[in-house]
Amino acid sequence: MIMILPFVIGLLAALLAMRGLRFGAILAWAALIIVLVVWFQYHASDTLNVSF
Amino acid sequence: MLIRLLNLLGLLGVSLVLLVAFYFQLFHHDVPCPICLLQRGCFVALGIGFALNLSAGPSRLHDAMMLVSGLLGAGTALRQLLLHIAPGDAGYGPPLLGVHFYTWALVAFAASILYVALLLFVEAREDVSARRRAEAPGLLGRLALWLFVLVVGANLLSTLLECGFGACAENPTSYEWLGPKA
Repeated sequence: MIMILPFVIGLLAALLAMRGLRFGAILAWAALIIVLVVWFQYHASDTLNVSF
Repeated sequence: MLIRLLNLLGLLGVSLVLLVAFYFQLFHHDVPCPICLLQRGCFVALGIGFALNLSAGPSRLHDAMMLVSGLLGAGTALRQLLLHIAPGDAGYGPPLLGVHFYTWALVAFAASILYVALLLFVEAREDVSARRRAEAPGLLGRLALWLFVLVVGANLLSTLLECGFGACAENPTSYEWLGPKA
């Protein structure tokens, strides 16, 4: 899992948003959310010592 | 005017959170863990909504993006909080005002959701669709947008130094590209 990828996409989305390029920024944001979820699933591997 | 001010303050707030995390990273040698970096990523996603509201005009779609980002960030922070909630666990990283960063992150993400609700209340009073083309971000807005872009770029650079082009160590103590004593 490439840890810089969320920030690469985030920077792209931020630059597009700054320029007011709405559609591109929204697409990049969606890609960022997907990467964050997948990366979270990869890294959240320890079992939680709690009961619900 | 109020909508623009709220979005400006929101974007500055997101940048401030990322800058505080950066301060502790640089001056207290707190090397962020992968889940900590993902929380920063969620703050970036949150900031994109505010940035779009400022530069392209307020929209409920941007607000929805912020809600999704805030919920994902809260879930990520909550997961890390639960990992260290057992008695005797000292937690991860140095505390700020007695509270660990992931707990602050959970508070901040919850607050962001409330903040977007406030934004929606204000937007509901005005015809947002009619305003969408009208307003430019203004000087302060442009400065806030630049600050946000710079903070995201700085996070990209520090993550590159810490993790290189791969995954980060689960409990990192040094920067991969700066050697073991960085």
